[in-house]
Amino acid sequence: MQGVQFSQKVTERKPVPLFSGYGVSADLAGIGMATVGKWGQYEVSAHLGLRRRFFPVVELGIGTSNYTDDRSRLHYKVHSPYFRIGMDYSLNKNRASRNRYFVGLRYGFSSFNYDLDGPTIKDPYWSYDFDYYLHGIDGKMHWGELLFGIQTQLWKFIHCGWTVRYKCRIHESQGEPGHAYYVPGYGKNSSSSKCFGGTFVIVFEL
Amino acid sequence: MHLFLCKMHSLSCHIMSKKLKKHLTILFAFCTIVSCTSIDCPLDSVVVMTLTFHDTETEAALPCTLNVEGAGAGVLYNEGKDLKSVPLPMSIGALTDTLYLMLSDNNLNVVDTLYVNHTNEMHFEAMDCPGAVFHHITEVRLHPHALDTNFPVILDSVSIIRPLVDYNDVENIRIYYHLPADNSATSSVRR
Repeated sequence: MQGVQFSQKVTERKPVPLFSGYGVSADLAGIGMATVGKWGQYEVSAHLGLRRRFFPVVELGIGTSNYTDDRSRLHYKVHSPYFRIGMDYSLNKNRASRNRYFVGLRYGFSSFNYDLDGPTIKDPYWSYDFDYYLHGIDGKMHWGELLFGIQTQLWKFIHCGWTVRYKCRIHESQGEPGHAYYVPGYGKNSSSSKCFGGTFVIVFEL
Repeated sequence: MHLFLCKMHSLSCHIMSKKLKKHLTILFAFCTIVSCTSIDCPLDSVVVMTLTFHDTETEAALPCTLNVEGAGAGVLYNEGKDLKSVPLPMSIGALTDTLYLMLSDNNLNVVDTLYVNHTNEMHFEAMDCPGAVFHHITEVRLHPHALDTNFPVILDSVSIIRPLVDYNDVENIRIYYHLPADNSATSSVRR
């Protein structure tokens, strides 16, 4: 047959393996906050890629705070661990891409121990003073997180990314003074059961 | 300059796919709708116990003048007339407050004694709020005045309505009274 021949273009999609990689990461934002802020955390995490779509994640960290308020002179100190487990879901259409943006869910838990002290309270009527301090207060918190994140390749196996997290308190076991000021892994605690948080991570993806 | 901006715009549009735009829009809307609330110090940060007076027959106010003194504390409440409720401070060091309810009408004066057993608990609200002490009332006892006076009011009994004493100005302790003509006076203790 002579003349122009049109080749039949066959696009074969490479099957994505079930185990499509794994990675470990560290949260740089938490380290920065722990260094210069009122609280922060040292956090590492590990994830597994499943068909480059689902990414089961485990996050472990130590939350720390040693803060004295200038006005009230209240001092809060905590240094306790926490963990989160969950899953990310990649929203990329192109699963071969090394960059991804994703949504995810987390369940977090922390069993922590903190100190709280402040100036002695003087009774204006009776001649008593109340020593405002408690050390070794136990607290526990369960919470959930809904997150959105972006991760991009910097060089070969080194990636970086960030997440924005909407956190919702599920249950809190309070100590005698009430809710804790800062809960490791959760962040600043308040009477509201919700808050925002985030991470900026460096990832070693293999 | 305009050309440069147009080029930049088209470039950014190219980079940011429609899908990504959609997701970022959803994220922005989500963040806008759901915002954190940060706690501040409560406007009313005074811890007081609220004592109320109830006529066993009517809803009338206490028909005499009331002064309250605390044992070891001095005057806690001064010259209240036609009262239905009284805010009173609690001690942050003792476990029992002894309160002298000094009732006066014309030239007659009587003193009833109210004993309030309570706990003193450290309370934390926020780092920028001063520390506070909350209380739990565990028991109240009323020791009424002698009945052989002609005083127009007799305090009957007392009960705990809300044991927790905190920033909320709500009824904690209720004292029932009656006028002598109503019935014979009794004293009782309620827990």
